[in-house]
Amino acid sequence: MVSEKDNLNIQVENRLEDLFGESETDSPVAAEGDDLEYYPFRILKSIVLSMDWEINDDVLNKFIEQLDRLKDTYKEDKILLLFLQILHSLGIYIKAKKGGAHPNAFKIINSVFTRLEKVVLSKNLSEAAKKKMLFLELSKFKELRGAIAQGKIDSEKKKMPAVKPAPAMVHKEEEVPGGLIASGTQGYNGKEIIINAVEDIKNLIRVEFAALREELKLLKR
Amino acid sequence: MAFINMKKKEVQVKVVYYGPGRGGKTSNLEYIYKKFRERIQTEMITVKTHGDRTLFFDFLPFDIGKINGYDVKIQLYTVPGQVKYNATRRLVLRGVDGIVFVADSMVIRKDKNILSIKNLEENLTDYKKSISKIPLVIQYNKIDLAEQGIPVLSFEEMEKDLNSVLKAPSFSASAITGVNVVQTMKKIIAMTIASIKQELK
Amino acid sequence: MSYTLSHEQLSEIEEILQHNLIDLGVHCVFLIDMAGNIIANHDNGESSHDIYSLAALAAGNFGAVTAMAKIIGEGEFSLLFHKGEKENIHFSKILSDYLLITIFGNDISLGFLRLKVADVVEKTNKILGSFDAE
Repeated sequence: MVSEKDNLNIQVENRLEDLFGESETDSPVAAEGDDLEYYPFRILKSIVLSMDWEINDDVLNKFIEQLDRLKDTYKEDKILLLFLQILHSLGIYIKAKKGGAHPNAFKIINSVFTRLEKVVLSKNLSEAAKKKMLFLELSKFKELRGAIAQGKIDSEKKKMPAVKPAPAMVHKEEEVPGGLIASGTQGYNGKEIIINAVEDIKNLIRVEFAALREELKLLKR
Repeated sequence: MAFINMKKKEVQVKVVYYGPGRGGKTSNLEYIYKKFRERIQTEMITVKTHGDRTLFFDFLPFDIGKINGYDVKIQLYTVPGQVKYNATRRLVLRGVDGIVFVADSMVIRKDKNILSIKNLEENLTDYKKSISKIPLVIQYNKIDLAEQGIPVLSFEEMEKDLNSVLKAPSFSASAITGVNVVQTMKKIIAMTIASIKQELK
Repeated sequence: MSYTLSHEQLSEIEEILQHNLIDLGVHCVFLIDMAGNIIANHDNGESSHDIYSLAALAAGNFGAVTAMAKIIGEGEFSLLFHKGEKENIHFSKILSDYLLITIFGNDISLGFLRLKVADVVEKTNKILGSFDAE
C-alpha cells in the first residue's frame, strides 16, 4: 500500500516537474523594454492585421498614434523612419478618404509593413539590401501618389476645361530623377534619393492635410 | 412577397411546399425536376441531412414565360417537415406567395397532418398572413400505398380533418409515381399569379 | 401582395453597384430581398454563377445566422463573411428587408471591401427607402 502511494506521488511529482519545473533553457520573464522577448512592432502588426478585417476611425487613429510613437523611437534610423513615414501618410490619407481612397493604398500598407518587418527582423541584412527594399516600397508609394494626383486631375477636368496639375506634385516629379520608378539601380546617389523621397512624402502630407482641412471646414458648416 | 422588376418586366413568385415530415414535399419537387429537366434549365438545390431528410430547404426555380408582358419566374421551395425544424420553416416561409400543403395519407400520420397545418397557420400569422387568404392547394399524397395494402385515409376523411373550413382546392396524389403532381403545381401557380394580377396590369 | 421597383430606381441601383464595386474588381454583386428574390445584379463579365440559387441560399443563410444571433442575445452580427481559397462572399444588410451579397477574390482586402460596401449601403438605402410596398 505504501509503495503504491509513493508510486502515485512520484508520478505526480514527475508530472509537475515536467510541466512547471525550473530549467536553464527557460526564457526570462519578459519585462517591457526587455529585448529578449519584446518586439517593438507587435502592436503595429496587430493593427495592420486588424485592418484586413475592418477599417474605421478607431483603428486608423490607433494606427497613426502607434506610428507617431515609433517614428519618435526610430528617429535616428533613416531607413526605418522612412518606412514609418510612408505608413503614416497612407494612414492619414485613408482616414481622410475612407471608401474613396485609392484601392492600392490598402495594398501598399500591407507590403510596406511586410518589408519593414523583414528589415527589422533579419539579422544579417546589409544596409544596401535594406535600402533596396525601401526603394521598392517608395516607388509603389510614388506610383500611388501619381495615380491619386491623376484621379484628381481627371475629376477637375470634368469640372473645368483648362487644368493645371497640382503644382507640388509636378515640381517633385521634376526634382526626382526617374530612377525611383525604374527597377535598376545604376546611375544615382542613394542618399539623394532618400532625401528627395522624404521631401515627396512631406509634400504629400501637406497636400493631404490641406484637403482634410477643407473637408473639415465643409463639415463645420 | 412577389417581386416585380419594372425594368426587366419580370415577376418572381415564391411557392412553398409545406407539410409533416416524410410527407412527400421533396418528392413533389424531385418529380417535377426529373420530368421537366429539359425545359427547366436550372438545377434543383437540396440542403439535406445524411439521412436524406430536408435540413434547410429544397429549391427549384423556373421560368414559365410571359404573362401580360411580364416574364414570370416561379420559385418552388420545400420546408423541412420534422417538428424540431420550426425555426427553419419560418425562415423559408418569409415572403411566400402561395402554398401547397402536402398531407400524408397514411392512417398513422393523421395527427401529424393536423398538427402541421396548425403550425402553418401559426407561422403565417407571424408574418401577418392568413391561411384562409393566401393562395393554397392541399395535396393528399401517397395514395399509391393503398395498392400495397397499407392503410390510408379516405379523401373525405382528409377533407374533414384539414379542409372543412378552408375549402381550398385539393388533389389526391402520388409524388413517387407522379399522379396529380403537375396538376397540383399548375393549380397553385395559377392561383398565385391571379392573386398578384392587379400588379401586372 | 407584391412590391415594385421602377425602372429609374433599378437603373440607379445598378449604376451604384457597377461604379462602387464592380469597377473595383469585385467579381459579382447582387441585391436581394429576404425572400430570396433578386432585385439587381451585376458581374465583371467573367463569372457565371447560378445567382438564383445563390440568392435563395443567401437569404436562408442570413436568416439562419440572424436567428442564431438572437438566441445568443445579439440583435444581429455585424460581419457575415465566408472565406474561400479563391473566392469569398460578404453579406451586408440594407434597411431591414434587403441583402447585398458581394463575391470577390483575394486581390481585395475584406477591410477595404467593407468600407466600399458601407458606402453602397448608404446610397442604396435612399433609393430602397423610397419605393412603395403594398
